[in-house]
Order: sequence, then C-alpha cells, then structure tokens
Amino acid sequence: MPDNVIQNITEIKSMPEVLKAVEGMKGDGYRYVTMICLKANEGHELIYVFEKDDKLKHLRYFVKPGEKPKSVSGIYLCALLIENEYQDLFGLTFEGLAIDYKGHLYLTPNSPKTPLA
Amino acid sequence: MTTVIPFGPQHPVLPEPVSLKLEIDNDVVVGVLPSLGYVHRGLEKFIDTKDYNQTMYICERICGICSGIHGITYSRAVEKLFDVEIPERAQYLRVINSELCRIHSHLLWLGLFADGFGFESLFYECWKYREDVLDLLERFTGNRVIHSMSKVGGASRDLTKEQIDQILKTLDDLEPKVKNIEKVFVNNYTVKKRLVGLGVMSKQLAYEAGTAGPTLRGSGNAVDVRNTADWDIYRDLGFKTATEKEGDCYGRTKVRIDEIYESIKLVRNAISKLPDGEIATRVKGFPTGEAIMRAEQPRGEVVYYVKGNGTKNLERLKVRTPTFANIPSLLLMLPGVKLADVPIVVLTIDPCISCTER
Amino acid sequence: MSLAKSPWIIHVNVNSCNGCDIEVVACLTPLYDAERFGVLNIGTPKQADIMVVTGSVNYKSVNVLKNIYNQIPDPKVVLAVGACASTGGIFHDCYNVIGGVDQVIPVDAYVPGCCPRPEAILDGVVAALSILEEKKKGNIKGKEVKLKGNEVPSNA
Ligand code: SF4
Repeated sequence: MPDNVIQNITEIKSMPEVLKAVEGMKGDGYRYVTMICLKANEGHELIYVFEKDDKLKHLRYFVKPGEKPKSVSGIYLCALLIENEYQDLFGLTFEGLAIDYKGHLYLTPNSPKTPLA
Repeated sequence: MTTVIPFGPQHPVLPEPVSLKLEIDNDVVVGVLPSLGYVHRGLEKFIDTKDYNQTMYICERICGICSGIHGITYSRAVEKLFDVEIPERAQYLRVINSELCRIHSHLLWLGLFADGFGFESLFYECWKYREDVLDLLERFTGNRVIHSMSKVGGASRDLTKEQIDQILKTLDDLEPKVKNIEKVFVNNYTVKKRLVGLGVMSKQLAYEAGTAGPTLRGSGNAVDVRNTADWDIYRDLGFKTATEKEGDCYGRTKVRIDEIYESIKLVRNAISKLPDGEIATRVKGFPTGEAIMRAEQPRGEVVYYVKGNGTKNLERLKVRTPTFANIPSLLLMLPGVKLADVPIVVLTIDPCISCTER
Repeated sequence: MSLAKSPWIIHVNVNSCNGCDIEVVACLTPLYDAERFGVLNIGTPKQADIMVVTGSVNYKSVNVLKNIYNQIPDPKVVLAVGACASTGGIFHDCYNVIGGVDQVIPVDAYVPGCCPRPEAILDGVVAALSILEEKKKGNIKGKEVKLKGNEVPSNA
C-alpha cells in the first residue's frame, strides 16, 4: 500500500450513522484525537480521528453544501474546541455544541470572516 | 450567588495571553469558560502562499518552545507524501534534536511552575540549568530557540566530533543538577503542600477527555507516541514511558522530571549508535496524496495532517497541538478548586497558547 | 533619584510564537540577569516604566495592548522585541494579523531578530533607559490611545 493515503478509514453516508459510529468508538475505548475539515466539491469533508493502543482509526463524512452537521461534543466533550474552530474558519454550523462560541472562538467582529472557506 | 472573575489575558503567572472566565462561589470555582483568540494568526491559511519547503519555517513558528519538533514532524509528514526514505544519520540527528528540545522545554516549564507557586529561587535554578541545554542547541543548530535543523528530505546540519563530545559532557554535568532540583520538587514540604491532591483527574477521565502527554500520563495512562507512530528509531534506542498514578499536579510534575532523565538517556544512546553517512536525500517533484503524522512533543501528542495536490503548495495543513487537546481537561479539573490554586492547575497542563491557536 | 537606575518592566505578549517571550524571560534569569541594571519584571502596568512587547498585533489582542499602554504612568517607553513586534515579521501576511506594534501604539525602540538573542534584548532595554531619562527630563507624556469600540465580543 502506498504511504500517501490514509489507512484504516471508513466512509459514512449519513449524520445519524456518524453519531452512532462515534458512540461505538467510545464504547470500544477509543480516544478522540481530532477532526480534520477540508473543502470538497462545494461542501466539506470531515475526517474524525480516533486512537486506541497507538492505532489510529478514521471516519470520513461529506457535508453537503448548506447542511448542518451534528456535534459529537455530547459524546466526547473534548470535541467542542475543534468544532468551534471550524465554525470560525469554515463557516460550518454544528448543532448541539456543548459550548457554542457562535463563530467567535478566535475571530472578532472586525477580523475577516470564515477565512478558510 | 456566584461571581464571574476573569482570569487573564494579561496575568502575572501566564506567559501567554489566554483568558478564563471563572464562576466563583465562596472562593471555589464552579464553572469555567475559556476564551481564546489572542494569539490566533491564521497559519493554516498562510501556507497557501508558501511552497512546501518554506512551510517548514512557518511550522517552526507555530510555537517557539517546541519549534524543533514541529519542524521535524512536518518534514516527516511531507516525506510520507513523497514516500521517501531519509538517511539513517538524519533520523538520529532528528532524535537528538527532539530530545534536547524536550529537556529544555521541561526545565523551562519546571521553572515557570516554581514561579507560579512562589518559589523564585527554584525558578532561577531551573532556568540556569536550561541555559546549558540551549548552549548545546546553539552549537548544534546555530540558534537558541528556532532551530530549523530539519528540512524535507533530512537534516540541514551535521554534528561534528567536538560537538558530540560537548553534548555528552554537558549532559553528564546536567544529570546531577536535575537530581538536585528533583529533590526539591519531590520532597520539599511547601511544594508538596501546594501540589498534592490538587486538580485530580482519574485515569478514566483523563483518557476520555482526550488529553495528551504528561497530563495523560500523570493519570496513569501509558500513552506515548514515541513508542509507536511508525518511527522505529525510538524503539531501537530503548526507552521507558514515565507514568504516575496520582493524577494530580504533583504526579504531572514527577512525570516531567522523569522524562528529563529518559531524554538524557535517549540522547546518549542515539549518539552512541549514530551511523555515518549522508544527512539528506534530494526530494524531487511535488507532493500528492494525504498523510497523518504524529509525534510526541514535550506537551504531548501532536498530529499533522497534510494534503498535497501536485503543485508546490500544499492544499491543506492541519495541526492538532497538545494544548488544544488539554484545554478541555481544564473544564474538568478546575471546578472545586480554590481561586488561589487556579494558576497552578492551569500551569500544570503546560499551556502553550500559540500552539493552540496557530 | 534617577529613574533609569531602577526601571520596572512589564512584559506583554500580544500575538507572538513564544520564541521571543522565552528569550525575554531568559534575560531576567541568572545567566543574563537583567536585574543587575536594576530591572525588575512586574505584573501590573500601573507600576511599570518600560513596556516590552513581543509579537505582532491581531484583531483580538489590539484592545488588550491599548488598555495596558494607557494604564502605564508617564514617562513610559515602549520596546518592541522581535521581528514580529517590529513589522509583523514572518506573519505580516496572515489574515488575522494587523501588523507591527507601532500600528497601534507609539514605539520608542526596536530589537530586530527572529528571535533576538538575550544580549540584543538587553541592549534594547539599555537603549530604552536613556529614552526614559530624556522623556522624564522633557516631561514628555504618552498619548492616550483610543479603544476602537466593541472589538472584543463577549463570548457565548
Ligand atoms: S519574531 Fe520570530 S521568534 Fe519572535 S515571536 Fe515572531 S516568529 Fe516568534
């Protein structure tokens, strides 16, 4: 297998299934590492990264344009920072965030809006 | 009745601006709301205008304390995109650089921490010893703080025989000095009085909160990326993961002191096994594909995600830094802590805000 | 008594990468020992004479910087440490960076370098001392810098 693709990745089609999969991860004793957000075909691509016994596992999900993904901060509290970051940088809206900074985690009303979008 | 007290952004014990809104009831914290953004520069966008070689210098400036390891991890991530093997000598040089960085960073933290609980002479002592390590780094890489030792494809500087002797000699001198300060941190009555039983996180809680580095290991989880993370050299060099069971400020301090010894050992081993040969390979072409690279920084695990699209600029760079993972743990540790102890608990995660916000 | 014999400094980090900060702190520790010039690092702006600023200014820290500047009593000297504080440095093009410190408050002395060596920072402090003395003689006051409205929102 070439080095420059991510291994151990599962693609998931719908948001409720993502939540179910993440809950399953927590049940299996995985640690939440981070989430990566990319621009992809008008929408966004989210890659959730988990770790257990030094092995990484990934979930991939495509956010359609205009779709509001659900927050996983109810399952893993630590997800709240990274989700708030993407609200700032990509202009996404996560539903059900534990603490919602409303796009002002890093940015102020004067700074550029959604710089990475 | 609760009162909200802002902590920071400018606070004497905080070297960096971060602000916490503390809800206080009768001198005890009941709620915390961190507020970030004072150091946000926007480096993940900035790489659009830089090619993949220049991005290494940007990554080093994500944080000045662990800058060496940022640069090394970025280089390794991009090498993964190119699928190149770098010369063995370069790998060892990277290990030596990383571990010297770790020693200086931990001594720095121990000093700031001592200052945080008002032990000023201990602070000065730690920083005095740290200067020895900085001297080594300066001889080795040409700079005290921002090293730029690594580049995509290998190392940009080699160690000479004299430098190796110098490193070994300084480390021999350093070890008893660290033993000296360890005695104070571990046995001193006043220090223990301030640290033991403060800011406790159980093993389970620390793991579920997704913490990293000494914060995680201080609670008894033996997670250290150096052991795995497809970097074989660390396994060859033999190294022990430092953990403590307590999960309080005292435990986290002891983990960091133990890691200084381990790093000293690692540098010695790496020097004894240092192979001869080239220090860099030429990397040709432009990066494609995507890769995730992890490494252990002084503060914990750093995760680099890079994506190339066949041009000289990377399409996306995402850095998950250790403090980013550790800040949510403050939400769990601070409630129930007295207001006067808040600075200590905040310092024990070794906050590095410029890493967090990039 | 001469003010320049015992200046108290306040170290303000606005948007720096930490590299300059640790070198500023290193100046105060035994090897470089700025205290031999009577320099004392102090946490509160109300008692400071020299403001040592590291890092470029961003949209959120700009009000913090102005606030601290306004609180320092006259005569006061501002020392910008590092390439970032002087011009914006390597970050000058980033979207969230306004620029060097002199875009926001008047700066009296600059220390170049990324990051500057402690010797250079000490040199800057010594240069700041003579400026401080002059300002005291000439009774030169720093201008009050206006805050720009509600730049920092209340979060959440
Ligand atoms: S001048 Fe260099 S070392 Fe100093 S804050 Fe800027 S990037 Fe960091």
